[in-house]
Amino acid sequence: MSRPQEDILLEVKGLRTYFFTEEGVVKAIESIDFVVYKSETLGLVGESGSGKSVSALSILGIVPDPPGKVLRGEVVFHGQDLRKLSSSEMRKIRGNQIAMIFQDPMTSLNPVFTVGNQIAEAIILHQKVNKKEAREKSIKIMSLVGIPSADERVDNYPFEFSGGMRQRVMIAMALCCNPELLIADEPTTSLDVTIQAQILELLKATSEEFDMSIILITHDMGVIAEMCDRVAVMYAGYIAEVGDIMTIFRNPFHPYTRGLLGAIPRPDANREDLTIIRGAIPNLINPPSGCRFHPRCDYWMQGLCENEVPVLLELEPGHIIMCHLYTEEGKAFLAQRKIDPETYMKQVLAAQ
Amino acid sequence: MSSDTSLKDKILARAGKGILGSSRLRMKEMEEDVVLEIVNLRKFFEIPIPFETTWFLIAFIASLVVFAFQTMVGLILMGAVIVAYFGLPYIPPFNKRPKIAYLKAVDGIAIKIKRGKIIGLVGESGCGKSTAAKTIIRLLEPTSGAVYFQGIDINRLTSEEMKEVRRHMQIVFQDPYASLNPRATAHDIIAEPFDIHGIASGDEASFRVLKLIKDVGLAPHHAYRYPHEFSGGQRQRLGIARALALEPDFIVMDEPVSNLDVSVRAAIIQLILDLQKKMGLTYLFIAHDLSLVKILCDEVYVMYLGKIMEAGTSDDVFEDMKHPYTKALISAVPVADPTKRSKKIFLQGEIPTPINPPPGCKFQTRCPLVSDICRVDESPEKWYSKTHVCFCHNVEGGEDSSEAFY
Ligand SMILES: Nc1ncnc2c1ncn2[C@@H]1O[C@H](COP(=O)(O)OP(=O)(O)OP(=O)(O)O)[C@@H](O)[C@H]1O
Ligand SMILES: Nc1ncnc2c1ncn2[C@@H]1O[C@H](COP(=O)(O)OP(=O)(O)O)[C@@H](O)[C@H]1O
Ligand code: SF4
Ligand code: SF4
Ligand SMILES: [Mg+2]
Ligand SMILES: [Mg+2]
Repeated sequence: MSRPQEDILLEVKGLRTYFFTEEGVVKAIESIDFVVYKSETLGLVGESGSGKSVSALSILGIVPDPPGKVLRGEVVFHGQDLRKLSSSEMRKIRGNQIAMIFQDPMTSLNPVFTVGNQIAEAIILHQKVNKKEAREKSIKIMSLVGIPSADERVDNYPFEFSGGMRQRVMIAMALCCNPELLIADEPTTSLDVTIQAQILELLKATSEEFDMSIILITHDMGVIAEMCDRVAVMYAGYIAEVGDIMTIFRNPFHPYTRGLLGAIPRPDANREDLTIIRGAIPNLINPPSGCRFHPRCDYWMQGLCENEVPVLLELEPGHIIMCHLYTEEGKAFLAQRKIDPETYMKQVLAAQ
Repeated sequence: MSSDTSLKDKILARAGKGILGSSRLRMKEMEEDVVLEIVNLRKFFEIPIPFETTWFLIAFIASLVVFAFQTMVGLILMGAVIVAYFGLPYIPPFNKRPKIAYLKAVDGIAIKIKRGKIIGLVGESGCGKSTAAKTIIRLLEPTSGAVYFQGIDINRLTSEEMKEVRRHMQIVFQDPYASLNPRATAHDIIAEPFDIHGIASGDEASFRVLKLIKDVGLAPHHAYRYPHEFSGGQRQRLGIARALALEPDFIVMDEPVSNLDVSVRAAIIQLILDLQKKMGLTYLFIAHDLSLVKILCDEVYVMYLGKIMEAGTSDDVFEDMKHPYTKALISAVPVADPTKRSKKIFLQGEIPTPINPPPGCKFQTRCPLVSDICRVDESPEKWYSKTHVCFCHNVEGGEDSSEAFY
């Protein structure tokens, strides 16, 4: 499933972001490539430290600098490269066309202003309205995101809200300018499942109502399965695999995607079905050479994977993968050893 | 691992030496395979009610104004205001507001834990799971109720006798970082219980420590690292190694994997299962990842605001749930299968505070089935099979006792 070129809202090409710290250069994002189509929800999934949040910050041009720097790549939004814009032009885009919500709403809400003030301020910043109109709009948008008796709660301070309500306020602030793209970084990770279900439903409903695309960052495969149209799997600064939701869950190609899915309790599974991915995400100051996943990979082709970074391949329309099992080099490597790739994969699976 | 009788005998022997002798102890006959029985356990926290500062200030300023014109009357008024707000003991007609309220974190729960089983305890955050866990292993003293471990009421034991019991029951916390001494090496952290109980020292202790380190999947060279030099998953292994040091038969796991990444989580779960097989451990497993509880636990207790709402085998609770709360909770869990996007039951609002809950059923403020009786009477116990119990006025069917199924 791949949609025509003109449906693309955002295209990220070869983006690289490093952090220059005292301990050394943290190669947080080496190279990421993906597209976001109009009014779709794209999931960005991976273990913690794989670079999901830094990707979001890089797209928005808000990587803390120093120590962070976006070193190369393009972020094409409506045909223009956001990295070439001036900071004031970029500020206009953020909030107006692209909005972001963060994992911990308390850190992004100002504790000394009322919630209503903060939403109104966001509205005034981007729209030509006066204070009174902004306040009325705030109340309207607060009740839209399901905050009960919004006309009273508008004068409350953030600490008077529960975690779930604060996340609703963040969503209200993000929505108040009708963005075309919402980047939601783990919006429900710190919430209970019951509240998570409410917030996800709210995101789903508003994305439909406002015809908005969402990049949903999470490490929960369940949330991905419930919410997304397509999925990008990240590992240690690279995109390992991109595909539509059914392909990723039913027929994943990348060993890391398979590992992630094996490690979670799927419906109808039992205790014995849980598998583990050996080892841990690497230190990104000295990341493994070649394919950064090779120290943990059951399919590691010694002599190839640790020497060469695999190229990105589009195996089927819309299904993109970065792994030597599918590259020409990989096939040649196995052919040299007189192994058929299919047999190789089966052998490895059987050995597990 | 000692058998039932030896623990009982040891404690009786110790108790006999005390001034009051063994008459202080309380025993309970328990079924053969039950390790731990929790009977009507309650844990309330006393919390001070904040003063109504606004009214206090208004009254105080008013008396100041009076003071400016009528010195004596003003002084008396001022004194009265201060005394009324800070000083007075609880005298009903003058001072209606008690200064202490009870936060009913755990409000009467009963759990039976059979040997070699994994019992799940689930519920939203703040519903009292951790408090229950700590009270069960007597890190907190219960307000009322009892915990019988191998037939002995552990809350009646002296701290000396409790030491004997501690060897058999351990706890692993959610946040391994907070529960490990940052200035001790992994070796010393694991060896500490040997020291406290005078079990092993020197080379013997080190030998055992290294074995434990290996058992939980760490490497010998990890022994001399400090907690901050481990990853989250490794720290959790360290916490488990320490809990295993005394070869307990029962371990409470309070959200042992909640802060861990999926891949690490799976590895710790596998470790928990391996240890159970190898050592015949019994677990009370607290978690809010319900899809994990479903495949891991033999029995599941669903808790809400300090009370059990429903309990049964994993199949009872996940496949044939009766209680409206269980239904909402389970329907909210995201399912890792895009072909199974389900219709959710959305609960109104959030879990209320456990301070001064209304009479009747605790779930009444959010329940889709609520009726008048729920606001008056506690919800009754109803059995749907030998193993499956649910507490609700409005769920159809059910028997008053599990006897009906024998
Ligand atoms: N020492 C204490 N003093 C006062 N209140 C407490 C104390 N410990 C816990 N509570 C309260 O008791 C209730 C139950 O707390 P508990 O920590 O057991 O919840 P929990 O279900 O484990 O939540 P979580 O999943 O967030 O850890 C909460 O309302 C909590 O605020
Ligand atoms: N401000 C920073 N300074 C140095 N390193 C950073 C900073 N922010 C992120 N990193 C590093 O970038 C990598 C990716 O981080 P992040 O995107 O936050 O991961 P995720 O969101 O997937 O958990 C990590 O190795 C992290 O330590
Ligand atoms: S490139 Fe090699 S090491 Fe990397 S994921 Fe593919 S098979 Fe594994
Ligand atoms: S007793 Fe009443 S309020 Fe409680 S769960 Fe049953 S129907 Fe709902
Ligand atoms: Mg993050
Ligand atoms: Mg807890």
